[in-house]
Amino acid sequence: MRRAGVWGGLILLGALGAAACGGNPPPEPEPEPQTTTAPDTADENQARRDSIRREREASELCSRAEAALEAGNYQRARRLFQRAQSEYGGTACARRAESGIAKVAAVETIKERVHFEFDRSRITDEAAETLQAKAEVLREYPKVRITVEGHADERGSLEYNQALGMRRAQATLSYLVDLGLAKNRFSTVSYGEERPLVDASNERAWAQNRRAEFVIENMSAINP
Amino acid sequence: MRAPDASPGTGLRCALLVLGALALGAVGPSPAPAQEDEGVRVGIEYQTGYVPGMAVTGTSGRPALEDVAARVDSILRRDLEYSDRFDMLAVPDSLGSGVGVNYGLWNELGAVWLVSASVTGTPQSPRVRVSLHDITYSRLEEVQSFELPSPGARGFRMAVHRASDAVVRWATGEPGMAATRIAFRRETEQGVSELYTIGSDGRNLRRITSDSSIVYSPAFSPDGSELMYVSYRNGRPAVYIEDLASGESQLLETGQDFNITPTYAPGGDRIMLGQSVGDHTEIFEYELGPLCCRRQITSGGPGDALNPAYSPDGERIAFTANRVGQPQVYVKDVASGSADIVSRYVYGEEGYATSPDWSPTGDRIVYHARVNGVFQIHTVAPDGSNRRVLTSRGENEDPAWAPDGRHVVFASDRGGYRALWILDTVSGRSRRLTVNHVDQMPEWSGSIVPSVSGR
Repeated sequence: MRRAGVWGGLILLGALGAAACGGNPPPEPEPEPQTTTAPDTADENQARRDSIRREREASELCSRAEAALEAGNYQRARRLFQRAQSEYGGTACARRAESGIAKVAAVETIKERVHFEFDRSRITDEAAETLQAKAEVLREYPKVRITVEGHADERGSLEYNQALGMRRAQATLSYLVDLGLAKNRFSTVSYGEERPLVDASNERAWAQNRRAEFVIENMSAINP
Repeated sequence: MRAPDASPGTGLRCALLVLGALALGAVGPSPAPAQEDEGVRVGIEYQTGYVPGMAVTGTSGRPALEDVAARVDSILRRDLEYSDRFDMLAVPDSLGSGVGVNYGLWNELGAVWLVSASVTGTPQSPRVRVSLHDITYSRLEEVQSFELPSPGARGFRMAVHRASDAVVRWATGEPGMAATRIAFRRETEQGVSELYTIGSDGRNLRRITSDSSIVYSPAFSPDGSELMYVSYRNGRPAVYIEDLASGESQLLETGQDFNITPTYAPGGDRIMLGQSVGDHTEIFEYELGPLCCRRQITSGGPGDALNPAYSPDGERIAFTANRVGQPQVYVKDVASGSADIVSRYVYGEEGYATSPDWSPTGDRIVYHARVNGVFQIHTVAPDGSNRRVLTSRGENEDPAWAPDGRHVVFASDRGGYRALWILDTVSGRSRRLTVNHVDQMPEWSGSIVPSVSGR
């Protein structure tokens, strides 16, 4: 397989790249790349070059999508994966995009916040639905570990809200454990009223800020 | 509560003072000191509404000590003003010097007490001799010398504060609160807070933590040498004890990953704090040095119990719990017994009372509770009787007692942002302690003992 020449090298690289992405076996290399050939051979060359370029662009798109997923930029990750599907059909990346989008959906479901009533840690019906969906995904990814953060709105006493945030985190954890998930996959922390989601002083902001958040401790369990 | 207007007599007395100085001056002979008297003296019997007049004169033996004398004089004067126990009279310099006390003159000027402070020694190692004269009975009530560090040294103000507290004790028989510090948390940026301490007079601000994390709930050891607090510096709320002299802090290894609202027992040998039990928080006690013997003090969830505050004898605590679906302040025996609500609770009505602190005199508990939806400072007797609301302007939170059992420090937004304020629960007078930051969760030390303050 030792060949001199720019063409041979490029084809080899492209072939290896495609192979690495789980693509087709490498095509037969051209015997005389620099020779002027018949029109159909020229077209084939062009097609191959296009195909290699598409694979390369798609592969780059996937890398960006996965980096976005890793960085927690889920909407961007989903957009990039979707672009790979629509614009680079047939490439290795496009085939990977489907599972990528599923991972984004899984992460979003895991991270979806649940909210609480004022000065309460009761799991509301709405929160219960959210947690049930979460539990399903967590069963699909059994190695994922989660920190449940409890938060309070700014009304109330600082220290009391610290305890209230903890009660919310614990109530959330209890609900998930009752759904059959292993307790040792979770830890809890309260941030009281220290980290509002919405920095404003009105009912809407307070409702947003009374919440539990879900931090995935090991993204590698979802996106190896 | 509205601060009372300045005494209408003040201006008149100042005028009298000058006239008196001219008329009597050095000419008038001092009346002979009254005989020792067993009876109750006017200036000592403290009655609400009656504030005895006090004058302070400062002198120095030598020109080299004039600066020191001036500083001592201004610190003393301000401390005694801030004690809210005296009507401080303005004294022209001419009255400060001279030998002997002209009791007749001072009496005429409205003074019940005269404090004279004379500075001797050297500028590097000065001492101040403080005398308290009872003008009504024309006699020297008490005199004591205080060694001072040089005015540039860290312990200087604290040493003078101790002299101020001595004057308060001589004149009233009650402890002062000048030789103290107040610890609090300051928001240094959004979501980041650090601990600071500041003198009772608003001077000597000192930063204690630098973790760019979240801190909560500072608590002084009884001798004021240590500060215990909660920090998130390692991700979870954990208790640390900081030696204020060395600046070293140590993690308290409780083995729990949720630790809030720690406080020292009056003897300094035990602590209480809130920790998780299942899905909620209860109060636990530990013995200190080395940490051991964890025992649960409250039970009765599902609501939380937190914010323990020992009574001065250490046998009871006040704390916050939301057993009735809303936070209320409770009192219970540490050893046994059920807890009784002491804050205002009406079934079916919205209530919210938290953050109690038991007064060092034992007779009152201060806390904050909602009034028309806004937090205000309340006090109540430990049996739940005689409840009073002390504030009405702005939102007022997180009160803590001074060692004199009459001043309270708290966080208030009455000035447009959350700062610390001090309220005299007897006269209703208040003053701002900190400015221009978001300051919360103040905690008042006991009287700082000399061995601690010099370092």
